[in-house]
Amino acid sequence: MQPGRRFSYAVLALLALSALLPTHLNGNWVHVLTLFFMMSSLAQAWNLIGGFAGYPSFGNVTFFGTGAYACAYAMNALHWPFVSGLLLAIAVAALFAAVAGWPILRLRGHYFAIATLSIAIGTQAFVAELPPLGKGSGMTLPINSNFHFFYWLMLGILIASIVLTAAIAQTRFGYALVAIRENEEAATVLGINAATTKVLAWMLSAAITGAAGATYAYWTSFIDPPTVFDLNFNVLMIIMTLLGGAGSIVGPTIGSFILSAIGEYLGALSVSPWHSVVLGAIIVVIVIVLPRGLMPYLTGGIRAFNLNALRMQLRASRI
Amino acid sequence: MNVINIAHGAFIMLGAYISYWLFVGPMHLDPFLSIPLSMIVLFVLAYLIQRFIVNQVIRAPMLATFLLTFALSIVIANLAQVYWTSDIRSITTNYSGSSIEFGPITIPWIRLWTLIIAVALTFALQAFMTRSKIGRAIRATSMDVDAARLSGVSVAHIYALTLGIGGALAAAAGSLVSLSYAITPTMGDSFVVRAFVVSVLGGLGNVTGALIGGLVYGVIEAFGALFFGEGYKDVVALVVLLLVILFRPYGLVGRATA
Repeated sequence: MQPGRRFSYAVLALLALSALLPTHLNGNWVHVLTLFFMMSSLAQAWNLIGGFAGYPSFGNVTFFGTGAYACAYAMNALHWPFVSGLLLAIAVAALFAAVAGWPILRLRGHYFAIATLSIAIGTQAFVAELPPLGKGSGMTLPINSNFHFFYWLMLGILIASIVLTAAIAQTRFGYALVAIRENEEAATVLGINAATTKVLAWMLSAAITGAAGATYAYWTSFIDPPTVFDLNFNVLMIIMTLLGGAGSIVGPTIGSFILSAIGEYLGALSVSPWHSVVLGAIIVVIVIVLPRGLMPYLTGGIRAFNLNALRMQLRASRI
Repeated sequence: MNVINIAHGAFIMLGAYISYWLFVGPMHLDPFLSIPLSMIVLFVLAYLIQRFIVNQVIRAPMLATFLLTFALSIVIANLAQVYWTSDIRSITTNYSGSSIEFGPITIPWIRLWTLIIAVALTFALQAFMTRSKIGRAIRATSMDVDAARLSGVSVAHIYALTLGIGGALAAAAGSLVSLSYAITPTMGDSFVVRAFVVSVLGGLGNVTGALIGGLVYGVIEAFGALFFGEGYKDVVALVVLLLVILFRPYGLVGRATA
């Protein structure tokens, strides 16, 4: 078995074991871990389009927001049960990704980044004007204070997203995505339908993100546009994925674990602008020093710590 | 230069604070006069940021510089919040309320001078980019880094100079908006997206195109607000941006190049 695969199984086993935890933990820790599972699923979802296909989406938070609003609308206005709201959220998010992705995924580089960014900002501004969605003042959902339920649900979404990533990585579809990332023209020449493949990857990414958004909406029982379309969510997804290792199977979860732990530690110290200053500085260091993330070091063992190779890599990206 | 600088908004904010500072300080300097000072300060800061931080990842995938400058903008905005608190500040001069009238049209003096200075800076930048040696070096570096280096251009210095110039222009913008907008540590956020939209409308890398982009954007925003309601103006502007990216990625006035 490859070391990478063994590592992924170990992480999955640990996550599965953590399902036993909530009855032994106090409310605060349940909250912290639920949030960690949510951010990890968002990062795993981003990894499908940003890591595998190499299309750095700044619009994934849109699917979080639309998922949250779809679920809120279903439960608040249509009085559907949560499960139907969740399914609606997944469908709406995936559909949105298909409709938006068809034209936008033809763009590359800066244009793709700016286009997805403007979709994120535009959707937030649009939702904030729609009367059935409560305009800017937000929507309330039925209150469910069984927080263990949300813990298990977020954990379930995370495990499902990791299993999905692992499955994709082994199929033609996964190889096609990597081929598109490495060289889209060459991939097309090899007979890969790049447009369909990218749209499909973004739809899967959106479906996971929408499910997390719906669960978040029910969990907090109140949502408004600035919260669920917060661009910082999107940036965190990217940074967590990069920290762990883009294009790997459990990398995003590892990155999310580390950043969540740092955030929790800093937050415990004080809630102040300094918290953000330190977080920003950490991101700067990660981007410069760890361009391929932590996964090569985690799976390669001690041999991966090759200072010379790192130095060469840093020199190659410098000018 | 193929670098998206998200910290541009933070630079604008710093420029505004420098003008505010010089205005309320013992010198009581008029914000229009503090423009050169804020430009110099931000030029130096932006130069150093590019030279020592962003240059480290300039050959890495585009996402790296994007994230790096985003993180830098978080750091700058929050440091500003630490030192200047999040209180909303504003500058009121003795000419703040006065305006000039052309028949039925009333234009505040501040806005008029802001326009004049912005246009002057744009043409100065255009002249600099096309006529000076450094401007040619910048354009050469942007076209092909390795060829520029082989021709004797110190590309690390040129990259840093470019961000320095961008920082200086952001500072000028910050000093100008400090006269008509509220000054807060997060004020840059709303400008950075508009700056994107305007540059894409004008065509990335096209200096005078940005003027036209800015004009078109302003008109679209105003008409969007008029026809669809104030809240929809951002939506309309962003939809227009998407259409431009999809159908005229070289900008409204630019030409397609190979």
